Amino acid sequence: MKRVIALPGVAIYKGSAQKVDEKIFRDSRGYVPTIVGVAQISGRNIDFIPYKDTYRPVKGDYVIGVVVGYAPNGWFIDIGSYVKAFLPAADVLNKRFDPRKDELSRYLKIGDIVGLYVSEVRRLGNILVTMKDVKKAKDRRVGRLSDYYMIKVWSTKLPRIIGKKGSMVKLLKERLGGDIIIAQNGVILYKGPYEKFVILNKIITFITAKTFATGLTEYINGLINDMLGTEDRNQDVEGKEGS
Amino acid sequence: MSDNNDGEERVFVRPDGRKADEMRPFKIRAHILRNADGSAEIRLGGNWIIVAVYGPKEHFPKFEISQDRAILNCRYHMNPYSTSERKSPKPSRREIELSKVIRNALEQALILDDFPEMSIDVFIEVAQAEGSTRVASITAASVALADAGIPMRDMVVGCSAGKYNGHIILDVGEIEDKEGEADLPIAIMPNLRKVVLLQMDGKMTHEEFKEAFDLALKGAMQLYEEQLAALKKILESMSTLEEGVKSEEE
Repeated sequence: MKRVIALPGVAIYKGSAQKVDEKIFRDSRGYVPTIVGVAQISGRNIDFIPYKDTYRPVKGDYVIGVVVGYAPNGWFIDIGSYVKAFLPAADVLNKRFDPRKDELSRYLKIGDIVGLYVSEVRRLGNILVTMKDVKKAKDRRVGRLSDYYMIKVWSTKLPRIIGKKGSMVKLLKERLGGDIIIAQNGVILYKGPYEKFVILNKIITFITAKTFATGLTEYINGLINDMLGTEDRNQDVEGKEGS
Repeated sequence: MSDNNDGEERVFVRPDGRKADEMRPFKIRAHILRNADGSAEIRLGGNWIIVAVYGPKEHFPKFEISQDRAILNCRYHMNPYSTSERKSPKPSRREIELSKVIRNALEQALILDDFPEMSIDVFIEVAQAEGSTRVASITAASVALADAGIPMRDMVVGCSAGKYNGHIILDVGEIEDKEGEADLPIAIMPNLRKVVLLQMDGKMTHEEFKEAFDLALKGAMQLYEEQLAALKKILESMSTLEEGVKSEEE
């Protein structure tokens, strides 16, 4: 496998490839990327890890968003995509919503964090989300999620945060404890002690800054050891001073 | 400048001591602002330009939206302290024109069809001006757009050439711009071999124009290498676990 830095307009592969990412187009010069990233060429396949790319919702995606506004018959949710998504009130109430008799803020207020599924993407400017738990996955909770700390990252960084077969997220859950929810739009929620959240935030900032590095999981393990170690030592010192 | 009476040809030296085909020192940095989606900075001689890119995002007002492509908004602005005499911060006729010219140049490289009903904002702030700001702005804006992750067919890079004291010169400075006979700013897409901006002020013969154009192309290619280096630098820093300690190969 060959790793190449991909820059817009600079051909990265000549010949005919079998599987190519949609961010790469082909012309007389060969395969040309349109955005900055790292291309992994293995045989005739070209995989592409973009440096930055805004989340594009796909039907069935699990997303976490923040309520940002009211419409007459539903809420506008910021899911970190190009436009705001719309959550119909009838979906939440499971019955017809009448704005003359009922108040939307009784159910969801501006600033609430909600777990949702994307139910329809008509075009980029029209995203519908639903609270109906269609997939019933254990680590994906729908509805209002309260008392969570929130971290937002570019959705292209998620594969590194999750790791190969979930190795990184497993490591984080084991070492830090608490409850970690990862949504496909790049939102990470954490419920647990604040000190642990600070460590998690530091680690995720580190991962997003070092997206293309190899051997990240092992390195992060060391990093957590250092951070937890210093924390433990501090507690020991405090304990001794107290006694 | 040799000023002898031996009948020898006078050596041409430019106001800042450069050779005719010499660029001013330049440096491009990408990703310099934390809050913008993409950003870049260029220093070209005494020019210092900062570019920020926001988007693609929902466009307002709604009646202006384009159904099949994104709208590119571009604002070229000279700060009041960018010139030797205070410049009024309100957009001048020149700034409005340059905003349009820069937008037209960048639009040709961007794949705007990917984002129907959206808009992309490019803010160009000239913090210090010393001639050839429009081409320097295009060069920096292109890096900022790449940093924002907006799909492009190719980078856009600009450079200027001109005529001063009867000589064709590369990278026109402030004095040469004011006192010279002509100036020719160009912007190109280097890999696609396309010209996206070509303006000329003053008078040049056909041969002089050809020479100036070739010289500007040569300068643009130098800036293009710097553009790529600036973008590579970000990716390289993301590929190493500790800055300068552990490289990818190790």
